[in-house]
Amino acid sequence: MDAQQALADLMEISSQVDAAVVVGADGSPLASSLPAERGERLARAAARLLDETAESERRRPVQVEAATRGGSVFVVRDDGHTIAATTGASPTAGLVLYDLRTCLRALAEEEPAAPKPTRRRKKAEEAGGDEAA
Amino acid sequence: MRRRSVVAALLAAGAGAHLLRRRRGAEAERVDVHYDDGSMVSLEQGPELERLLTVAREGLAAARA
Repeated sequence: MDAQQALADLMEISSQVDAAVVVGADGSPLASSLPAERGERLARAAARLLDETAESERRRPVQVEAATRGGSVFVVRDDGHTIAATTGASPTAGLVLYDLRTCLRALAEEEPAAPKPTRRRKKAEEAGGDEAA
Repeated sequence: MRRRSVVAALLAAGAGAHLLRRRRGAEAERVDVHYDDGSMVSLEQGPELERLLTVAREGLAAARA
């Protein structure tokens, strides 16, 4: 699944997410539910939230939830991607975070996991071929 | 009978106060940060919180512009 599709699924599934942007490892937006310039601004804000929380602690932040009276910003990242999302005030944080992690998992699964089933199928075919011979 | 009414009133007041506290807590401004070592920090006051909320408001403004 590419970033655009993963983001489209997120926006469809989550009723609480107003806007979201998927950011690649180099910091550039890969997909956004917003027009490009606004998506970049949201991505920059997300990067700053991660940077500034990393400066204050000697650990790597993997999830930030900033709750204001007007709405919340969620930032979740894994090794390859970061996703930032905004919601209205007082969201159900657990559900939003679950949806964001699901989106990140979908992005992570796309890359290295694909060849495994093919290999198994080949072995099965060979075994079937041996039996036939 | 009167004793029961007093107990019921106290329970209702306690439940109301609990709900009010939860509601206020949910509406409070804060930043929760989870780290890769499994630890978590919740900022509920102070200059660091204000700095992070300013950044968050910029993100919200971008989303709603």
